[in-house]
Amino acid sequence: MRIIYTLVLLINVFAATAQVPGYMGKRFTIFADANPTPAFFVMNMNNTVLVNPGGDDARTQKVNRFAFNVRPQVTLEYLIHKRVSLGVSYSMPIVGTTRAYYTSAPSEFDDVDYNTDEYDVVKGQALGLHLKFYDFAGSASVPPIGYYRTINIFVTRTNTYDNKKSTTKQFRDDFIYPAVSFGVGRQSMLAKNLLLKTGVEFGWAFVPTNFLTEVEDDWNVQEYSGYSVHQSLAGYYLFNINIGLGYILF
Amino acid sequence: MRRYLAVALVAACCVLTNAQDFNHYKTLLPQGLVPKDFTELSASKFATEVTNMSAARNKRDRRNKKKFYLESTFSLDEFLTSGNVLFNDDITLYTADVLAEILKPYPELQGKIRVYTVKSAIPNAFTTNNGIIFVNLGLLARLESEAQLAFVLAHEVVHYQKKHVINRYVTNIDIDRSKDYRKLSREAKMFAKSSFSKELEMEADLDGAEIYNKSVYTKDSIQNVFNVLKYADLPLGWVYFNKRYYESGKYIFPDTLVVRKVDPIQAIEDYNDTLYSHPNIRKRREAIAVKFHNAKGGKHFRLAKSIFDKNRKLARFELCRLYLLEHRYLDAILLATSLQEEEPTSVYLKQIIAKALYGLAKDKLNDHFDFKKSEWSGDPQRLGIFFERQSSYEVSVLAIRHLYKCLEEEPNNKEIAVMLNDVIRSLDKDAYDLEKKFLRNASDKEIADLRYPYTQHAFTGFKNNAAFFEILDKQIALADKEDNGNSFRKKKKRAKDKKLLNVDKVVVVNPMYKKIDTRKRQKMRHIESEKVLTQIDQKIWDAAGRLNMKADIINPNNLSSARVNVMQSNSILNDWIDEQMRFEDARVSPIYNEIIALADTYKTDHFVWMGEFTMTRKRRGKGFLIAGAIITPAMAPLFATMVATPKGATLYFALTFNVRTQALELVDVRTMNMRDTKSLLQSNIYYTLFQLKKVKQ
Repeated sequence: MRIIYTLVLLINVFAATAQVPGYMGKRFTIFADANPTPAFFVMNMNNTVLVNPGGDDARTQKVNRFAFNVRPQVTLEYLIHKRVSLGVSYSMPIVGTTRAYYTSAPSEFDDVDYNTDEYDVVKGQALGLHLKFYDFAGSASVPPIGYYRTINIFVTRTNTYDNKKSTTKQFRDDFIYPAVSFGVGRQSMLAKNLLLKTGVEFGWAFVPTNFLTEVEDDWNVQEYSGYSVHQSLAGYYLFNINIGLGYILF
Repeated sequence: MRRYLAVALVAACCVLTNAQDFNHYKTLLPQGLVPKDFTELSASKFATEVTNMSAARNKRDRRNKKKFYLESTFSLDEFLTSGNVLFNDDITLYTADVLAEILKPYPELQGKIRVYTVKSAIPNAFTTNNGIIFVNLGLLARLESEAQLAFVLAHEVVHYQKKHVINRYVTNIDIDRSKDYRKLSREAKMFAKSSFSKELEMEADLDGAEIYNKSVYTKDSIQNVFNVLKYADLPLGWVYFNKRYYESGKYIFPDTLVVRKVDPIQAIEDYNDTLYSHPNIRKRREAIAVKFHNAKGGKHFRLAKSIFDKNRKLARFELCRLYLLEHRYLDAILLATSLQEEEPTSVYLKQIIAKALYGLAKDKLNDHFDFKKSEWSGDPQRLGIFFERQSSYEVSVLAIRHLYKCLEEEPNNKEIAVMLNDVIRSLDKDAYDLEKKFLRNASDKEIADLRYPYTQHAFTGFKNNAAFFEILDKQIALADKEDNGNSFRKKKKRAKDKKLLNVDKVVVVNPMYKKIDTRKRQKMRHIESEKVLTQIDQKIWDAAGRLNMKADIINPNNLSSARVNVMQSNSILNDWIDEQMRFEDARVSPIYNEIIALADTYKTDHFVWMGEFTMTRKRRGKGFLIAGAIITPAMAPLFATMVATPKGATLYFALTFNVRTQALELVDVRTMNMRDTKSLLQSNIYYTLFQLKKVKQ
């Protein structure tokens, strides 16, 4: 709550002192982002994994070299300076993952023996806060039209489900992790007040990275599924394409 | 009948409102209804030209002709709307009368050919393919008779009649590109072009002589018109230099400033014209002589000599102003002193001389004085050397003296007052203890040990010496204060000197827009650019409206025939901005009063010159993008989009001047790595106005 108070205070201070043109005086923009992201590092139903840190077991059955994840996102931005926007975003990441399950009841002394379900998905929400810096002085125009760089912080809250539509959580507790990303791109105005945003984003989800160092054979079902979620999230935030439509409201 | 009456009424109004008082001369401006040549959109003119295009020899010929019409129509319209072209003014109406006279035997040409006057000091006339003859003031000022003007116009009529302009253009392209000329060297091609051009000029001379022969004008001495060309490079003036003109009482210049021997005037007629566009003067004179061999009689003046003299005097008065704007101060002094023979009491001419001396003083003080002796032969060379030999101090004193004399005659003349203050302050920065270097009364004891002793008497002959020294002392005190504060202020300037302009009204002058697409055969996208310009007014108003600002727009691309005031403002503003941009050092404009009057009319001091250049070009490295798409198929849509879309670059600029202080208050220049769109231009315009209203500068 203290952070929110600080933010509101900051926005007020910026708004009061900044000499910000915006587009015809309008500074508040709402974006609907699709963010179709190539499935480079993360599998999904019907996706192929070109780089597969999870090994062959993580590969989906169907191969599609043009596979994309789509991350719907709503972003609100306000120009607080002639070249800086402050924004918040709400997104719903959906990525594929692999869940393990025992074929028979496990006993303490047996080797781990389980099957995997390759069609599960990680679903959830992410709340983001970002600063967008426009390349005002160098090679761009008056914000919000022009080239930009963004620094994002996300808090993600996810769980795994049987499929996209399912509402039954596979884990008792949600996975809550922070993520950061750095993006570059361009905003152009298609029509009066209608913005098109295109860009790319590189990020890192702060999940435990045991899956990169530990030997998979030692994992039990719980660990296997958890690590799959971690690697899915990590891969998911590693690289994204940002495409969105925005409208300058006021 | 009603139409004739209306035209007569308008003409009568023009005459009444424009009757010139040479004592207080007002500059020539466009008058009456704006002709269709200025109001019709270039795209529409181009469409008409293409429709009426003469039959082409082949596909290439047709393409070249079309390109010619496109380029010539748009560049001509740019020239027409530049503010340099006068219409319905006294001189243009007179020139049109002379044209009508020589076209009497050619009813098919009447109405097709129009004539306008160009505010240029260069002695020249030229014709366009669509029948517009432009006559420069510099030519009119040098002609000796109406008959000579008629001959020049007859020559230009032939250029139109024989379609010389398009033929020259198409032939030049042929010489550059056609297979027939492929093996020629660059020099040989230039020779071929020059030869063709000379053929056309000679044809214009000879056929023009035929037209001229049918007129009422004299046939005897018309070859003298070539003397105008022969001496075109010499300064215009006819009085002998006498330093007494600048002296009075004990204020007497040393004889060492005056040179006794000057270079004789030399003008060669039979020069080598190998690569020239026109044959040399001797060839032209001889060719014409054959035409007029047996012709005799005719008049030098159709009606009265006084009408020609009056119009030539107008051109010469106007030329003085042009010389000042071009910082050709010696030319201005020579011509103005010559004109004073006829108009000795003219306040305007006295002010021209005072303003020219002010300019010379500023040149000297800033080390910009540049006198090319070789270009000033004959007696005028004495004038040049007289000022060349003077120091910046001496010229400044002379300028102060003349400016104050003008101020005595017109105490409310802001322009002269501002110049006087400026030159005193500038001189004070250059001279130590300036206030102690002049006698305040003629009876005072002479000051010893002065470097230029004669200058101490410069300010003793005024009607009210005390009033002058009050100004002098005040300005010196101000200059000293500025000097003392300078070193301290520089450190604090950034924070302290920034202030909110809070501009409530602007005038946007002649906005510019150019669209270039290097992928197309016709790279300059004239038609699209013009379309943007016709819509730019609304964008400016929209942006100003959002900021509660008012905006007047002087946009010659959106003209109706009734809006002559737009062209008048454009004409003055064009002269003003042209001087500001061409010459860097700060000095009071010689048309300061005119620009202040405009500021008063528009009720704002802030005038904005804005424009945009946008370029679209091919994207390079497509092969790498395609390879990238193949290697990483998931990125294919991104790479495919990049391959399909061209690259763009846009430059936007807006310069805002406070015309009262002549300060460039806002320089808003942005380069953008993107193609222009309606919204992008709108956004840029808004930001310029936003800065004027809300951002500290």
